[in-house]
Amino acid sequence: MNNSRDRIITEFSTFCTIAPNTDSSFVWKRDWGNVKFMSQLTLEAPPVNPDCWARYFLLILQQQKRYAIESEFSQKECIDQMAIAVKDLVTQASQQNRDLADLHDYLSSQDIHHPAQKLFDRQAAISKQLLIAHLQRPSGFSACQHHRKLSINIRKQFSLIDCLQELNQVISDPLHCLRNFDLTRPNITLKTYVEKRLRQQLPNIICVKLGAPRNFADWGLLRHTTKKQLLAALQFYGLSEIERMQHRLIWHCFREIYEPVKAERHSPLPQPSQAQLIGIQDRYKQRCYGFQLTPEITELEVSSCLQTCIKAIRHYQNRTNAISTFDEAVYQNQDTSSETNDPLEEEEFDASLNEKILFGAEEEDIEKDISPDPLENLINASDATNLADVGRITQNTVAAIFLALERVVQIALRLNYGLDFNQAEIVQILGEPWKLLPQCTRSRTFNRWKKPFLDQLTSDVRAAYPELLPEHQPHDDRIQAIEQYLKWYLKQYCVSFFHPPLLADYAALDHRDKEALTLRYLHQMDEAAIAQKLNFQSTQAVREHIHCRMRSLSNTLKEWTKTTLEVNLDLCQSTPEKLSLFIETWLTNPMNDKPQISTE
Amino acid sequence: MLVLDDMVTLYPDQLWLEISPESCQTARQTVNAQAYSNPVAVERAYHNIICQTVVANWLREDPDLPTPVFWLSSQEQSAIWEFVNGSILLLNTTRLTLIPSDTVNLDELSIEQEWVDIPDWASHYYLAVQLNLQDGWLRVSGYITHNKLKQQGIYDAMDRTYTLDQSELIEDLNILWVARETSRWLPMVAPLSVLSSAQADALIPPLSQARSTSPRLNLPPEQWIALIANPVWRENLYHHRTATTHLGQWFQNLIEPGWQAIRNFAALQSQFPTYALARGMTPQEKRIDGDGYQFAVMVICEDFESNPHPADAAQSLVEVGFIVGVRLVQSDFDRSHVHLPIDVNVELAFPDEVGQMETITEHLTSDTPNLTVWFPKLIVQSQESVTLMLIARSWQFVHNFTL
Repeated sequence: MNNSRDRIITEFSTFCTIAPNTDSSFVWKRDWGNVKFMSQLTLEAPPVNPDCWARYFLLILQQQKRYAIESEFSQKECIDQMAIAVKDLVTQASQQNRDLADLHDYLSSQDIHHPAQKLFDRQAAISKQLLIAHLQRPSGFSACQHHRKLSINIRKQFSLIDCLQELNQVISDPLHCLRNFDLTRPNITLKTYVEKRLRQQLPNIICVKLGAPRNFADWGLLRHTTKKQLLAALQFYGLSEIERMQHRLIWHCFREIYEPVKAERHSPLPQPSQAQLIGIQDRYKQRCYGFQLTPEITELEVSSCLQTCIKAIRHYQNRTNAISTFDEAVYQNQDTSSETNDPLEEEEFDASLNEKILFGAEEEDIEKDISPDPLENLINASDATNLADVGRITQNTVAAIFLALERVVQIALRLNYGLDFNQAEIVQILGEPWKLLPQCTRSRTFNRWKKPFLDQLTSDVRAAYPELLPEHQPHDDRIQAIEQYLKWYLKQYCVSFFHPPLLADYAALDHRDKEALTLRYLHQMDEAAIAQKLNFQSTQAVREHIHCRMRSLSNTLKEWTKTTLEVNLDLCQSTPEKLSLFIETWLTNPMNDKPQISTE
Repeated sequence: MLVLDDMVTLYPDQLWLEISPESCQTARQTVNAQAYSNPVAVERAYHNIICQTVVANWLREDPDLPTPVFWLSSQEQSAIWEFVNGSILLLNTTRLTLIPSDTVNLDELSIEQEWVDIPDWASHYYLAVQLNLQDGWLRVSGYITHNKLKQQGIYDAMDRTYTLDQSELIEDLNILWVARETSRWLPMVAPLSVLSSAQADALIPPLSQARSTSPRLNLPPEQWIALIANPVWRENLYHHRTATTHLGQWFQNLIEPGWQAIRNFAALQSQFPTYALARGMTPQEKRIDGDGYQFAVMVICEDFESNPHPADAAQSLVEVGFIVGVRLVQSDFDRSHVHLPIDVNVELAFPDEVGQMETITEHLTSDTPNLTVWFPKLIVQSQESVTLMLIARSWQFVHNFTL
């Protein structure tokens, strides 16, 4: 099996889950049923990349959804529909979809008994499971990346494992998760898109999980649900179109009339009063004619419809997570998968070590995609080609304006963008006067930097590319793209501020110390292998040695910050962790001007 | 549980502002001094007042921005909040519409059509504001331009709103401040359909009857929008829906328009030996059609001792008692054995000592001969209002009393 085929099989057959009886270890589980399915599928397949396979599976899911209810399509007709969809995509955006056509030609031409034909079965859930496997890496990566940036209070209540479970829940419905993904958009993979989406969704997920429980008891849930969620829930619950319409109208009437009476702070919202239910019924009767609904409805039926909405929302929210769906669907739908009693093979990693071990090159791919693409898209869209120019403008602007900022703002920015301290932690570090200020005053001070930066940058970009910011049209989206670009450069600027002391300290280490750190962090070698390679007595000795060097680098960084920024990082509880992560990232990145160590 | 600092960490680009208990109290007092036809409108007004006050104060303190100005006077704003949710702040020529919500689910933003499709109401920018009054903060979770709202918002005919995903919003207001300085554009809105004065006059009385909900969905959208866009008709409709009686006039036996003195006064006096009747005060009643009957709602207001507020002599407190009765018009009050053909809930909403609205609900049931409700004495402060609401199966009666 060649490397690229092996990579594709692994990509679509491994699942990231939690090791039993632990609270910080992830486990990769390989599903041998999936392995076998993908092995057969890829046997003579054209050499396309995993993203192309994933796009194809997404297209199949979209087609299946489209024809799930109304049409009784045969497999042959499904294949024809896929061909049309692929052709459309290739016509619209040939560059990023050119391989799709080859893949479709190959898969659709297979013998009727070949697993490929299963993909085109209207009922088959296999595409969904393959896609879920593909999205495991962005989910795990996002969990690791973003969990560590949360405040200590949140992390106490919401563990890394909670984080992974919640994100896995999001990707367990890939069609929903990718509903706004534009298959014609250049320069973005499915995985990058999902990572961005998960990054946006995580704060909302945390708010819901850790928010006031009173809002999520029955009537709070109904009051706070969104239209979109209600509609999806009613559909998921299996109501017909006319029933959905009726339930939606009753819900709208409920929203118009239900005003909960004053309740205890944490007690659940009460059910609607008798008078409110009558009001809802009357309101429904007034409005039903506009939607061709029957006016015949009793008060009891109104109450029952509202209860159904609550049940449907709960049902929709509690959809089974990725792994259980996977198990169920694979073993139900795939007759080739059950040859072994234990189809899942486990490889366990300690997630607290470094997620690069888990996600490998994934992290770099995703980071690369995240960074400056908004402006790149902007430039592409405007037919301006010299992206480097805008980059140079931004870089110069950052350097010029930063030093003119108020000193406390410079410190806050360096701590925030450089060392990843959040606003509350920065306030702890800055000490007493800041702690006493109201949140809005602190925010105003810390965020005041952005407007002069944006003013200057917008003016510079406009001078170079006037067509990007037309005066007589709203161009907020473009300024937003510039702002993201600005943040990216500002981060580089602030991070690099903390590199010189590390570099000096590192240069003073003896060769063996440098080698140990390089092997551990740059090459991700485990301690046992390092012990063997560098003749340490035991893995414990390696661990202690590395720990000692890391502590020294951390102290150096702390002292440097104290001298240059005149702040005491010890005032913040999370400082050791922040510094440790900063140093690990610095050691992991070969581009940080460190003298390269030969590890041969 | 999450505290404000946690929320700021989760959404660092959004604007987070504290809401002081004093702001809430002032807003509650302002709302209590205004008239609204139903409790949902009262809460809507309360949220909007807090939202616009807190955001305007924050803008005012920013030296880089022009001083914000409210688009409408307080009185005119009441006539807006009786019907729709939102308010407009002006920063020189830039219009910002604030859309407050107390929902905890911010996945989508819904903006009522009026703010988008009425030319005089349309703004450059629409700001989504989440209020958490329990924990004392608000946040501006993002904004969108009028153009993008029209292009990307999904119009929902069921509640006549434009709805957007939160992900479509721009979170950082700094972008708005820069964009407003670097671009000059006007929201493009189609002209409204024409409504004649005669049509408007004919539409207002029926829209003034059903007061438990905003009447915005009771007319076809074009007609409603043309009606509400006109400030005179809007005020007219608002006044029809929020008829208010000044208790002082009532105590002086002045008959309110639409009300009439009770004819069989002598019989009434023997049946209700009240302080007010003994002093020669005239009870008043109002006729209502509903469920195929004509009802009369009788109200007796008693004033007891008036005490000047200890801290401020100008701010008087009055003890008021309400006796409310309902009868079928063909029967007289002295025939108290005549049953009502339907059940009626009688509610009295009044501000408590901290300005929060309290409600007392009593039931007049069709199977008992008791047709009156004696409410406990209330202490009412000047400018505060008490709302009397009668709710039957197919009709409602709402009336505000202010001191």
